[in-house]
Amino acid sequence: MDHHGSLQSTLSADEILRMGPHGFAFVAHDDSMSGVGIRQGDIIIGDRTPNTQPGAIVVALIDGESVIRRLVREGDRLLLVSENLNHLEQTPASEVVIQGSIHTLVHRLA
Amino acid sequence: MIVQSDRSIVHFDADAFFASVEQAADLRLRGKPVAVGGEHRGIVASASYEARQYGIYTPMPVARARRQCPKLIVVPPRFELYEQFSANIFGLAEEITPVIERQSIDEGYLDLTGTSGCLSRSPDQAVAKLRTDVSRWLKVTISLGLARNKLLSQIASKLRKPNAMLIVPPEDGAELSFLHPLPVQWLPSIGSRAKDLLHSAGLSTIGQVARMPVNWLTELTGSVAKQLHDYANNIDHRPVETNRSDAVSYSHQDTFAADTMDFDFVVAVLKHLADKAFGRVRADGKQIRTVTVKIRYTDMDDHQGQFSFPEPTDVEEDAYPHLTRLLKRLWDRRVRLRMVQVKLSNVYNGYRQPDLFGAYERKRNLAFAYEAIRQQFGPKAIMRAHDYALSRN
Repeated sequence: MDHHGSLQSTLSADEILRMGPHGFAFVAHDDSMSGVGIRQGDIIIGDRTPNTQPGAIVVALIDGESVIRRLVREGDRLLLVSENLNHLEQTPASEVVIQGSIHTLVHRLA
Repeated sequence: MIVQSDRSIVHFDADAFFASVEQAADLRLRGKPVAVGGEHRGIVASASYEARQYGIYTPMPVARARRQCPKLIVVPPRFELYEQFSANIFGLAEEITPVIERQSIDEGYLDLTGTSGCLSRSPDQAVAKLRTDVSRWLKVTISLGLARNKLLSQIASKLRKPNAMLIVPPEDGAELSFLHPLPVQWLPSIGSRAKDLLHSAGLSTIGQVARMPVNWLTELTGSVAKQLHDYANNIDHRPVETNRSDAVSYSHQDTFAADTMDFDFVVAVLKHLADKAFGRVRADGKQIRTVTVKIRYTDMDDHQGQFSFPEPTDVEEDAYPHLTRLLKRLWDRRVRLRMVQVKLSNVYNGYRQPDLFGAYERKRNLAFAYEAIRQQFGPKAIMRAHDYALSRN
């Protein structure tokens, strides 16, 4: 049977949020990642892990603050880049602390 | 059974932890003299190694530190960030062994006994990897000691700080030649009073203590003598006791003789439990940041809530207003209570701060004096208002 398009109400919040023992949650405090749909005030949920792969959206400590960036490979180095056309920023990943990678975005409607 | 000679015990201790985390979090602070300063109390809580070169130490008034090093960058403490880094460091440690004893936010013991098979690396390789992983990922450094017991590994981790790894070879001769020349204050059960007593008796090294008869030491130092003598002779069978981060806590609970609806009575009990728990925190020389209150209704339904202080503390008075507030919030059913619990967690080490105006120090001295009087003259000799209320109940 095809459930496509129908609403399911039996999912558990635990399953959706995947908050494991190494989980963390932050509130996005700016629109620097609006290009991937993360808006100011959204809740982002991720895992603390030292092994983040290029392509992942991560939380990193830049200038003393936790910020959201995408980890991209450029040649033989890794960069943390913002995804907002009005707010382009690049930081070499090797110089900063990456706190973990994000797997879930909670966007509040009300 | 594993005998002592087979054990591989690691002690690790993060270097200048709060200041290092601030430097890791902000490129602009790296390589510079940085102090994390208590906002309220105006005291340096942690100084980077660059700052220590200017003679800045903990605890030193921020104003004096600034005079001594005009380039000093003082940042307010961010304990949540330090707790995240702590979780990350312990997370990396879990990759090499499940047997971890957390002592505080930035130090702990690991037992690597028998892990070489499953890790396919020897304990010293595993420890070296942990050290590299921590500095590569978290941009902070830890110092480690590896030895056959807790005593030696703890001393080894602190002896060559910062960013050091010291292995005490697992042979009796090597261990004693490591231990015996050290000054007596390296023994863990030595407070400043015992140190002075030993010094006044002409004992300045651990080796000298080791050679004294136990009964002679007992006359000098009292009940700690046996322990002291054992440690000085490198006898230490203490196991690494696994605990989870939320298990490093001080918790006391009370099940009432009869279930109650009396709010004031429950507040008095909570304060009494907090007194007991904080007494243990102080006795261990620790501080805590988080207070959790749990209530159990008569139908066994549990509710709990918590509060975190802006700065770690070891004084029960700081917690009293929050206990009342938490209870008010939690007890939202009109149902009797059968049990309450107070838990103190997020344990810190070495964050005791004398403040500039002495208010904290006065509260702390009062707490010590209160305990001492009760110990010497009994619990009725002196009572806080809530204890008096409880005694009449």
